[in-house]
Amino acid sequence: MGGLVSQLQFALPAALWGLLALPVIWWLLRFVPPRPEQVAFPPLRLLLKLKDTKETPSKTPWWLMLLRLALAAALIFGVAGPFRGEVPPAERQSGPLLLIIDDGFAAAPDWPQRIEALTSLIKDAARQDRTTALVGTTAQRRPPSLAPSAADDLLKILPTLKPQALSTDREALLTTLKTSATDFGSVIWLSDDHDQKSGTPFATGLSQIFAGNVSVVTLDAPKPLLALANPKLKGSEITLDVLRGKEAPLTATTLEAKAADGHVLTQNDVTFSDGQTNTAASITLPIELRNEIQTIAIKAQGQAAATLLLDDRWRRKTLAIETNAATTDDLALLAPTHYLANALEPYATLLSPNSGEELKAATDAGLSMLVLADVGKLPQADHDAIAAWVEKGGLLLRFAGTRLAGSADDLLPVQLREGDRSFGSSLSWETPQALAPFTAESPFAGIVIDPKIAVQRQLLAEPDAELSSKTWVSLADGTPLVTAAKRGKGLIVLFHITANADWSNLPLTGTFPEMLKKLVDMAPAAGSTDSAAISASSQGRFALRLALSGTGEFISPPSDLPSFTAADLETAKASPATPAGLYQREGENRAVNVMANADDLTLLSDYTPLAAQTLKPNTLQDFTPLLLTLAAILFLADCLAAVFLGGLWRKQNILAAAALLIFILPFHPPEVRADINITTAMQAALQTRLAFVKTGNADVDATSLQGLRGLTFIMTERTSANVGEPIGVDIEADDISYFPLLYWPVLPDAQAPSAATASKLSSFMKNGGTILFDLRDGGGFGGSANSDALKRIVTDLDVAPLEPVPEGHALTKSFYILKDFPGRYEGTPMWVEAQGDAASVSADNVSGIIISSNDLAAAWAINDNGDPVYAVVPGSDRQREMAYRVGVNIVMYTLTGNYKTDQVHVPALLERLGKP
Amino acid sequence: MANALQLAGTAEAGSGHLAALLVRAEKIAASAMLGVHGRKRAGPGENFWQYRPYGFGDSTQRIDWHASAKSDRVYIRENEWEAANTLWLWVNRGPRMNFKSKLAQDSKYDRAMVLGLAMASLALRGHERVGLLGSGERPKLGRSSLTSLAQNLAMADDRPLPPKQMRQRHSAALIVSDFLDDLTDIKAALLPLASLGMRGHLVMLADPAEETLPWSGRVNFRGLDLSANYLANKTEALRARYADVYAAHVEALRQLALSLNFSFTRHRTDSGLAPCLSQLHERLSD
Repeated sequence: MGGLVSQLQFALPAALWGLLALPVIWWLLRFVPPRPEQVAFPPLRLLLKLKDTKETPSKTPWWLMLLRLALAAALIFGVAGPFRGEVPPAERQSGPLLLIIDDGFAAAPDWPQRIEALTSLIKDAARQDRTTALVGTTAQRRPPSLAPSAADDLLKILPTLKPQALSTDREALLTTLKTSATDFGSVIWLSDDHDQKSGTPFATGLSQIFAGNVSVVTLDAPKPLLALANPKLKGSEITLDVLRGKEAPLTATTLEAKAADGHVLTQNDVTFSDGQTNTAASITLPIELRNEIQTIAIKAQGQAAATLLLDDRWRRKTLAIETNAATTDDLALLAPTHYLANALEPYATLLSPNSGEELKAATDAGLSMLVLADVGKLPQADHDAIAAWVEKGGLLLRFAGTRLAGSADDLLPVQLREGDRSFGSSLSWETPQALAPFTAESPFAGIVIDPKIAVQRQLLAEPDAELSSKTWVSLADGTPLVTAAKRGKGLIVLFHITANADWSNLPLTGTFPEMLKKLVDMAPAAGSTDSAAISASSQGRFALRLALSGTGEFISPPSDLPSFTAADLETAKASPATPAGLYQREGENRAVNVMANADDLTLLSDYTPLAAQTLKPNTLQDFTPLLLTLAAILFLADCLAAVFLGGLWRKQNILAAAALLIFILPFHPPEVRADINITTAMQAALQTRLAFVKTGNADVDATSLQGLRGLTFIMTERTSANVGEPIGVDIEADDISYFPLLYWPVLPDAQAPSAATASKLSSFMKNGGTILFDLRDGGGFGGSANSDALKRIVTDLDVAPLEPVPEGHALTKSFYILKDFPGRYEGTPMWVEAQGDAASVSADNVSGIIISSNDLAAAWAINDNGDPVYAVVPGSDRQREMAYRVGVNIVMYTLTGNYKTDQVHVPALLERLGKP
Repeated sequence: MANALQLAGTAEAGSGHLAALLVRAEKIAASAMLGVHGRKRAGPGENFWQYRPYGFGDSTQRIDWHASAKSDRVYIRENEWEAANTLWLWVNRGPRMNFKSKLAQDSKYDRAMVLGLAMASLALRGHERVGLLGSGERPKLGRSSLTSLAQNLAMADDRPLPPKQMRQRHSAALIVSDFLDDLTDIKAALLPLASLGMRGHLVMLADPAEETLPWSGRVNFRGLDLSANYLANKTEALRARYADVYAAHVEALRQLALSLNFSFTRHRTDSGLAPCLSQLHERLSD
């Protein structure tokens, strides 16, 4: 506690003089008592007779005085701004302060802590009336501004300060500082605690420039960093190295491969053995999934070096298909390349070089695979180029054909016999051959062989000792069908059949693309690093589409970045000129990664000649808000006391009020929500049923229920509509969207629905629901209390113009042919939305509103025995029957829409059909 | 002007209240016994007194033919002589009366009105005339006049005591007030009544808070009809002395009533009205 008091400092110590005013306040308070309770008192004359007795001097109660003094003291202390904190290193120094912050990826994981530290340092400087300059150690595209500025301005830009996806470049900053900045009173370097080969020289350099006024602030326990490096595509797997710093405590971590939409495709656990600074990891995925990978990241690292972006080069392979056979467009299915191109398209980018130069360019650019379909002898130049490319690791796939049968060169895995072998022809006694099952050693092992495959012709290999080892696939009789041989680093594969259906039906089966896919997987990645040439087909420049932030997240790129050629990005590492991120041009993208090395991850602990100071979170404790809050609370208490002493509250009221206050204060009153009756909603949703609006008048509601029951009974008897037990809804609370028809008896005292309900009703009608308003007075419109009530209800609804049901309206023929619409009363028309109005054609031309005044429900109403409840006026069985028919028509109209009106055209259509 | 407006406003508010008060008054009155003011001899009246044989000088119109037809003699029907007495009513409607503490059931005004109207109703049922002191109107007879009486009563009048005015001799006066004025003023107002030979009945209405002074702590007492105020720093300490002053005032009033041969009744607004009413009724009937 003593420590607390001794560490207490004040932002405005002068305000403490205000404490001298406390005795004055005490004296004043003592003689200004609180306002007395005011009472009107009739027998005042009698009281005035007591006036002669001596008046005791009124005093403020001691506790009230204490309360008010405490309030004044809290205010004074609050204004003085007491705070407690670690005395910052630059304390009590003058001259501008230079803050140097390492803002590379290594600082990213603890960035909020660093910003907090910066904030407190800047505020400290502001308290001493010092201006501050802030500079980052990563290389900047613009030279850093070393002009000091006021604390407020700096604090405003602090939130925009983000770690960069770059390594720090402290040497460059040191050079800048040497030349341009020496007039700083002190310098504080917020180190990211990582060496990056420049830690010690930077510390030395700083102390030379600023002669001892430099201090280093480091984080107490920096997060151990990991990085990804050396990604390689090896067959169908991606291999990469996971790096860690020396003495890093992390021994295991998890790699995640994520797609562009962020979902995780696979996770790999990686472990380090003791003392190892890097460990190999691999990611194996089916090619379709692998093509989706956009980033590979180490879980929970939160910095850019642990994030690896993959681009197109990691996904698809380039391959070229060349043939000598002439193709014509109308014989596409016979073309030797048709099936090849279709089978390879999903897995690779296809090129079709038309000349020797293009082929040369393609192989130089790092072609993955070259397919020669029925090419006999290659021109010497092409031959040399291809041979050299295969030597370096290319995969050459050849298909046989008549040309190859005629003349072969040496780019073949086996020696071929001249001429071909054919089966099943008129001159042969051999039948077409099926494929022998793939051997376990064959690269095609695992592919299901289509039993319909039959080979009619093939080229035969000269038998020699190595033939069987070179054979990947053979026919049922043992003759090799696919042979392969290594050549240099590359591979030559020969299919002894054509790539089209001339010699066999293999290209027509599903087995063919499977086999080709395996071959593509075996082919090396496109664009081998030693080939600088860029394929001729790719023109245009790359622009940064998604930049990588220091925390390894995608951010929008800076707007002032130029575009780049493919060559610029080919070997680019993240730098201010080429920020890390995904660059894009027409259908193609390139990634630039941070690619940290092991040095970047080494911890820096020795800052000599500078003294390092560990950054403690929350170094500053400001008591001002606390004191001001206390003052506010005391003020409230004082108000309460004044009210209490003024007699506005009696004692028991105070208890009640306190209880009320306790009850109210901590809770926000829960939003009162109309609890939708779940049972009702479920019933309503499970079956189509008629519904009526509960009016609150028990008689009317009972009639509505009975009426809808009667109508439902009639519906079930006479129509195929399967309508459930009717249901009453509370129009304000219940969900009405389940019902096709809502029967709404209008009472004279009906009130307008609330705004929410009005919009509910409007959307109900808009979405095809129909509301049947019943005025129940038999008197038509105008003047009656019921129609006034209807006007009130409908005012806020979105209702189209109305008209009496016109002749030929769907309501007159949706089930029965009707002329008028009687209910319990007859003679008044029924009103619907006008047909001509475009707005009313909301849902299949079904009127959202039907208004009757004939008390339909009363006419429909039946009791439990099925007998009618109300007499109809003027009354006949026929009228009741017609009322039921009206009901059936209305329900059918709402359920089936206007299709009956379409039937109007049937005679005309039939007539037209009759006329030849 | 402002005062007139204020009075009109009060009157209007009061007349809205009037129907309820009237109903209450009638109810209370019905619970009390109807007074009999019969003179125990034949005379002008409505109640049957006796049949008397027709004698010389009697008007033939007075022959009761129903009674005469029963026998050979001719009878005259005589009713009991009922002379109507006059009850003069005064209800204090001044600002002091609009006081109602939390201990009371009604304001003093409501109580006074109900009490006055109930007594008027009783008197009217007893076929007596009832008039309002200070209204300038003649006393009226018949139960229908209760409404107009109530309307007149509801008219604002902030005089605490009945004004001087020519009044009928040997009638009764019922004065309902809180009698918190100076004793000299009260005496000056009551003496003219007594000098006319009127039988006076004083009803002193009091709010329980006026008797007990239930407040405590620092209280500023303001008068309702006085502009003065009294600031008490420790009200609980005042209570005993105030009780003495109050008791002395009541005692002085009682002595005054005694000296004028008036009856004196006290009523507190937290107690029931019926006992007070029957007591008053008894005194009025004497």
